[in-house]
Amino acid sequence: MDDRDRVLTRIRGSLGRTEAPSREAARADLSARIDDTPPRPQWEATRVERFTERLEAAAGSWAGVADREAVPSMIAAWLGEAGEQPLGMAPHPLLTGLDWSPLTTPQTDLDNARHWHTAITVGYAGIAETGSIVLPSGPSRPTTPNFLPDRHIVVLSIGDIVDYMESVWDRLLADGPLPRTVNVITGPSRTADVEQTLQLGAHGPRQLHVLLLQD
Amino acid sequence: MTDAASPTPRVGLFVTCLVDFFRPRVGFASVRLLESAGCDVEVPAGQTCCGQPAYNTGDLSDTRDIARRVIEAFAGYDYLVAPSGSCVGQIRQYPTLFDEGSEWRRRADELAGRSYEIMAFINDVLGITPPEQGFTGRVTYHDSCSGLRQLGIREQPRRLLGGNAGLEMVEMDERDTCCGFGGTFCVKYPDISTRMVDQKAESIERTGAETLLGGDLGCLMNIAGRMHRRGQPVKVRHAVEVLAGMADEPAIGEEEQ
Amino acid sequence: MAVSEADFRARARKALDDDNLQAALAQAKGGFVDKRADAILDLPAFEQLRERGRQIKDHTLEYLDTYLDEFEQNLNSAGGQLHYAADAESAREAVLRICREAHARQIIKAKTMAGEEVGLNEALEAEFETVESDLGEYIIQLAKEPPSHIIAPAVHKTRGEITELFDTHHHGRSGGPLRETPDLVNEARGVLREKFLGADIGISGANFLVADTGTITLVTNEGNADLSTSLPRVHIAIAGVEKLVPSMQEASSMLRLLARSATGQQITAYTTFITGARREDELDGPEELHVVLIDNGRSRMLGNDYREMLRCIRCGACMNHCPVYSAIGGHAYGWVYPGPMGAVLTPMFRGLDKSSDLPQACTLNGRCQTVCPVKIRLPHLIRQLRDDAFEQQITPATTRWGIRGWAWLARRPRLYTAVTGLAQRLMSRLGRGSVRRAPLAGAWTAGRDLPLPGRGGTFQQQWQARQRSGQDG
Ligand code: SF4
Repeated sequence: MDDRDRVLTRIRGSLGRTEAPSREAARADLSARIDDTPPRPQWEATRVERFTERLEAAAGSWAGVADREAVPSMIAAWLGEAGEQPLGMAPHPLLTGLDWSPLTTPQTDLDNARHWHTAITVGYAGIAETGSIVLPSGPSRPTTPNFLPDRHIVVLSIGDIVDYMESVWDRLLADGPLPRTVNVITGPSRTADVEQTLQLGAHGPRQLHVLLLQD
Repeated sequence: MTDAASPTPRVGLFVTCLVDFFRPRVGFASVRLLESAGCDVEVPAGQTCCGQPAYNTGDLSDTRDIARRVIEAFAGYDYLVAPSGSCVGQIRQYPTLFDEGSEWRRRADELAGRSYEIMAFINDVLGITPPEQGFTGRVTYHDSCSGLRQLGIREQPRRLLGGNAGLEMVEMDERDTCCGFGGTFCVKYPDISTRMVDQKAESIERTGAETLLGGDLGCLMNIAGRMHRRGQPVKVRHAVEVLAGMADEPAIGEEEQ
Repeated sequence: MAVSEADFRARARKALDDDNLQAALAQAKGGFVDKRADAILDLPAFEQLRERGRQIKDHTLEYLDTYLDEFEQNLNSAGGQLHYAADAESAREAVLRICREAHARQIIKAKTMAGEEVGLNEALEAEFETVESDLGEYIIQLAKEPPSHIIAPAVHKTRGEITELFDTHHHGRSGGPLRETPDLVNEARGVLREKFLGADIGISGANFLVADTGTITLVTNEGNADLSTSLPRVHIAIAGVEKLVPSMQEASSMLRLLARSATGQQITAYTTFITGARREDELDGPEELHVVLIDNGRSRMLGNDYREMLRCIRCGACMNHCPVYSAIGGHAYGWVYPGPMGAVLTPMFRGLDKSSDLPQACTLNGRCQTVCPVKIRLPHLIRQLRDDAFEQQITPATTRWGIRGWAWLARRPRLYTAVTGLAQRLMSRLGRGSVRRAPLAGAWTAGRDLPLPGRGGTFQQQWQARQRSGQDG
């Protein structure tokens, strides 16, 4: 008997059976136990207001952008004088199709990502409940730019903000199996491991800036 | 009383072993308080202890024996009332000692349903506020864990004590933290227990209260003993002493006249 | 695990006398409690959420075999591989085998309590350069200590101690001035960044495993788990079989509970959902994903009176609210799981005879149960372990016979009244008011004076006397 059989046999033994019940039986028991709608935070503000309020509470920053053509200049303004190079971006059509002339065009070669000072990515969704950005991995959304650079700028369409995390799963699963990684990011990296004092920029980005794109 | 059949509730007082041994006046204060609230009070013979020391040491067979005796002794009373949330918490556990469907289980359930901590009984069941006893001074209150979490006793003692206009209640910080008594815990792990009660003594000190009140003698003796060792001059009493107008007698650990 | 299970009392004594530890514990205590209290304000239905959490976990445990099958199938179709481990040794073996087959040289680890439980670090360190990436874990790795808290492993370390560790290990100097937190965090960031980039294997735990998608959920605030699981070529996740939840819907509810209970956040900075290995059209991500599922005693718990302990989501709230934990810290508990959850899990995993003090060193005050996000009746389980210890004669004979003797007396009311009456008479004559010392009361008087009873007799004696005189009169 290998470990798999051994463990599963013991589990079934403890549950008093020799064969696992069907998934349908399991689902039926679950829906008898819990309501469809989980208890979740409620708010009075609009969805976007809640999103930006929670984002700020998590030490993230944001700015509104009227249209995508304005993204490069907004980024240039936010980066300011200091240390914006090297600049990298995810190979997302929304970004690669832009005229980056206020800046040098950001790199997309991931082999260089470890040297990027700032990375620009495109959010798949925002979650109003928590002020989170959702970044599922895929050809236009590699994972490492979300974590390696000091600063992370995310372009997010206002229309992609949903109330709760559950809606993100509905959307993603409608397209098939989940992507390899879904990063739900809420503010910059932080640690409280030294004397329980909050310190930003532990391993991931020290700053998270969201550009909210009007539809 | 809502029960029309017995307009004068017949109360069996469960004295508790600690009150019996260390502080009988809490028992007398309880009798006085219950009588003035219109109860017929008796002290059923045959009671010793609720069995908690055995239960919390894992000695279930002895606990069961003791439980049977308590069930017998308090049969026929409208209520079992005790000046201790901890003992009432234990009595409410009795049903778990007996097999479901058994006669003892039924009797244990029945007793658990009419057993009350004294201040919860007066406030919640009788709905009475004892008359002003003229107590004055700055007081802080220790919520014992079993009363607080097993029985939900928090506001009742404060409401009853509020009948004394001259009593100023100052809440301590970390008021829902255990004092480190824990029954046999305090003698099994004296080092840890002492650190815990020390922190409680400090919380009490920060209130500037002259008197500490509470509803469980075990915790009160623990805290009084530590404060006495620290040289902290706070009087410690069971709350029923104040409610029964007996707060002019020596406090816990104070020299008797 | 370096710490031995024997001699809880000695370790507790040492902890109480350790000024650095006491300072660190004092600093941590209120912080965790207040943060959690604040975090649940945004969710007035938190109690209903706790009930939901408990139902979700109970349900999953009841159908664990079904969900394990489902998880395995979905993990496989996403390109991941599942390995079962019946016990700690086979868990270590499974991980080592994967590392060897991948020709690993450098390993980067994110925090995993399951890994701690099976003693993974020592096994890895013997063969590979292994570095912890969670800042707290890194600190205690340098100090060569086990974690003292499941969420904040270095909570027992002061800034002074961390300064000294970093000075020694990063700069080969000692006795330097106290350094500021940003400076220390920054330095660790720089040192560890190289380790992330150089590692060929990343090892993580898993907070939840989602059956119907084959997904692993990881939560961190530092981002270390993400770097550990996206840069190296191979990702190994190690988790207990009880980590399953049915779907992403339930995972979302559980995450709301976990973040609020653990760190007092509404969500952690990085909440990551990993489903399989790198896809063909992807530019980054590990080529291999292995999930090692450990039993190590869990299947036994599933069938005994401690099943509800398998609901535990390792949030640490119980220890944050435990007055014993906050007096002695985590190391005194002697193994990887401290506090109330450890007082149940350690006897389960290591044997009650080897950890007999843990369920006893508890006042049963019940605060842990009121904060546990999955409503585990911790005091009930701890007390139940005392039943087991009593029955299996693990409880010391003196205690057992002491309690039996006392119970014998308590069952004989007349004798009881006579004996307590006599004892009370003797005791009341030891002094006036309180005494500093009394015969047979050494454990009480070690830290407290003993309030003496008055001289009028026990309540029973006085009451009976009054009844008699009442009747006479
Ligand atoms: S027992 Fe409950 S409170 Fe303690 S770590 Fe587990 S889930 Fe959290």
